[in-house]
Amino acid sequence: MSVIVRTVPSTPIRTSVQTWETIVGLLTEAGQEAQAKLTAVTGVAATLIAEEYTSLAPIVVKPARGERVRIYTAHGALALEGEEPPPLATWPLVEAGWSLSLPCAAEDIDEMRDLLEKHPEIEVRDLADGITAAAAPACASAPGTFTINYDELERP
Amino acid sequence: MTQVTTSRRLPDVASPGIADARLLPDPDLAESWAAIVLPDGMKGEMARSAIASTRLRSAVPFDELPLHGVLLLSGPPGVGKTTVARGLADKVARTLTGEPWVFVEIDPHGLASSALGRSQRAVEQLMGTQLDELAQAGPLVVLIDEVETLFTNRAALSMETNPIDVHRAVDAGLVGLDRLARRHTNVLIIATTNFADAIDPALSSRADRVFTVPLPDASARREILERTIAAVAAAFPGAESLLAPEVLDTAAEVAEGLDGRQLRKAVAAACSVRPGAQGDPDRVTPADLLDVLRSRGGWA
Repeated sequence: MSVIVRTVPSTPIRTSVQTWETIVGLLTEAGQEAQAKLTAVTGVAATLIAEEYTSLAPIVVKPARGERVRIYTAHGALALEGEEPPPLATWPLVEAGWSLSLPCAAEDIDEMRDLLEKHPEIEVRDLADGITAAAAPACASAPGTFTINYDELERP
Repeated sequence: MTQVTTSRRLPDVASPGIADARLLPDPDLAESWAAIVLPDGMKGEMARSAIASTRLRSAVPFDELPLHGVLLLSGPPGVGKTTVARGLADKVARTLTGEPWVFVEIDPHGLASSALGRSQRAVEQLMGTQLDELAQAGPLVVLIDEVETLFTNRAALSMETNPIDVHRAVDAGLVGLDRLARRHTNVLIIATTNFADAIDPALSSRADRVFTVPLPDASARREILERTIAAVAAAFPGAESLLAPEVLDTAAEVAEGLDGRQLRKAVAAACSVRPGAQGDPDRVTPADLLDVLRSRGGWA
């Protein structure tokens, strides 16, 4: 398992709400079920972004399959100097079974958990908690499981 | 086109360095493969090389067999290198089935910047992040057209033009290439160049195969002319007289030294060369075509 990382410039480039909208756009496309679920927690997510917790610890996205995605936000001078994050190579929330974890200061966790009670895929965690490091494997992609179509190969 | 259910996402073609991105197989690229005329057996050998490289890399450790999955196509302009490269990408995806392939065409000019360090960062971003993540998500074909722009021969750079940034960008490209080769066995990189001598030798040495695409021979010239005239005649039936075997034979003979692009444009030029035809392709004659090919004026 390896990890994909993105950093989204936040204030003063964009407001906290706009930062969350950018993150939602990074993870989902229009009409996707997960997009509505993420949009529904904009208030909580924008609050945590405004507190800049997401610059200290990442938002962790665990897809049902595939690589985890860690998203940080940059603020102040780092936001001004930062570049826009490139799109991901996949839509990680397209398949049910995903989860998303937001970093939060210990003193705010209970309140945020209450607010997220009706959103089982989304959780908050203590930003002081470590993140399990995943060592990069020698071969990141699985060897191709191809079927060879020799008729196609011989076709001029 | 086959509907593919996948979470794979195509890169934004508006982002720096990306000229095209699509899921494979793709009918347009299949047409490229069918349309291009190369010397006998060359297309088949290219396809076999790509398939063998992909299979070997997935089964044999890199340290034992250091294949980078790079095919280099060199040759003069107009012989169809880019067209065949795009077609080859599709051919590979149709031959090695089971997972959806993504095709990405790199625009090396989009990575260059006059700002110090910017080119290097753009190359790192592309090779180290975007292509790496695309390969992580599944099989990938990357086309780098005019590869000498990205992998410029560092030994040939003039020290008077402060080539530090170019050095760094080439270094970043090579590091990215090595990283892709070691981490992902399902990546095929097809590079094309008109200037093989302008490519950094470090890239040439990483190519698993180098194909030199020559100017078309008489047989290929005849086939190119025939295909082009047939396409014109499908829309303008008056052009069918150009398809007579003796006309095609003579035209192919007269056109020695022309590349595929020039041959195709000669058919268009023939439609306008004679004032009496008034630019009407229905009134083009075999003599018009032969005149254009003999004079080579204005288009070759």
